[in-house]
Amino acid sequence: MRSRRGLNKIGVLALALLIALGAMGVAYAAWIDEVYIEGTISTGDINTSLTCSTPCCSVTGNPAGAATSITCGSGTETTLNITVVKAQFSTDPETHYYCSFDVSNAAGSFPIKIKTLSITDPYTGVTRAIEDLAVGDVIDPTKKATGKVHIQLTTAEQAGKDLGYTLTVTVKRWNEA
Amino acid sequence: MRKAIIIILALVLALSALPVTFACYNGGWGNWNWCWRPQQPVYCCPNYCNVIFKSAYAHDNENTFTPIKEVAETTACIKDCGKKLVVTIDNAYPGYQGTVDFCVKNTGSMAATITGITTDYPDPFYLQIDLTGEWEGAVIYPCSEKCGQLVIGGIPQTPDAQNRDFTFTININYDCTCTPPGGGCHDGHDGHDGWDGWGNWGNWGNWGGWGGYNNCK
Repeated sequence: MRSRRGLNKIGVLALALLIALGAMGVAYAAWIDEVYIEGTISTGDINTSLTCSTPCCSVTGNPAGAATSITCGSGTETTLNITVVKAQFSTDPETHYYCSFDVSNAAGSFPIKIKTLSITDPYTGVTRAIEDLAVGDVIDPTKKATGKVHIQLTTAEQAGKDLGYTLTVTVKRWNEA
Repeated sequence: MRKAIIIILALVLALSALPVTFACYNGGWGNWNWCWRPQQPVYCCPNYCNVIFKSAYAHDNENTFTPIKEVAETTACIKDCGKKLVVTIDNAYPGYQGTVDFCVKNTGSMAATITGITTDYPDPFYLQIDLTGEWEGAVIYPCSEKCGQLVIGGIPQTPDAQNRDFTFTININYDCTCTPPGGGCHDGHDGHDGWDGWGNWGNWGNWGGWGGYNNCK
């Protein structure tokens, strides 16, 4: 009985302390307070792809009807391999090789800008150029831009050979210096 | 037993009186208007201070880029009856800078003194946060406002800064300080200019602002 009464006393005392300390906390809160700013920043990303267009390649002005063609194949993330098969030289009409490619910004969240655009130049007597796309062109998210590689033999030096080229396209965020 | 009960009651009364007297001595709590401090009456009833965010306007620097594009977005939203300002930046990138112009207002009848600003963001390499304005020690008198600007940017040009979420918290702490009664702030714009001695009256809602500019999404 004594121990039960002792326990009760301790219990009541503990309760009393709890109430008193609670009251102190309430009073403390009455004159000290704060406002706060909570922030969340989510960053986006650049996510582009360089692919051969579908259809990608064509040859115009092939009077001899030779078995010549141009092909496009994937390379690295920023390159495509373009090959002129059995290159044809013709002046009347001129033979032209075209290969289209897509720079896609479908998966990125920022507009992108073409940073560099280049194609290797390993052969003499052949001209090559990139058309319809230029450094500085901006591609918005969900969009793509299409460029075209134009190759032409200006002499018969490389005629009948397979000519390999590497197209390189790099991009940056549209507002990047 | 009776002795124990009396002791306990006395203890409760004594400890309960402590915060009441302390609050009154410091100038404001509850509905007592007869609290005195030595040599000087303290008008503690119904004095209180209550600082809340009154307005927040978010904007950014995207109009400085060429070509101008709407890519990222900064929003600022007042919540919890003005106690919390939620800032969100979506699709941020290096060079982007979100800015929030905000004002806090003391809707109470006592002055509030800013005792400290605590900024906490775990990724200082990826984020730069600047709170402009003299805040430490600033006194916001009843019905008056103090405005500042929060600038968030500094996202680095590194691949690992892409597709990330960063968070930060800025606490603006204040104390109520004893000033002659100002009669409270009854400009009718705050929605809760009534009793607010606890600083938290009605503080569980998400009203998202009252009267001030607030571009919540």
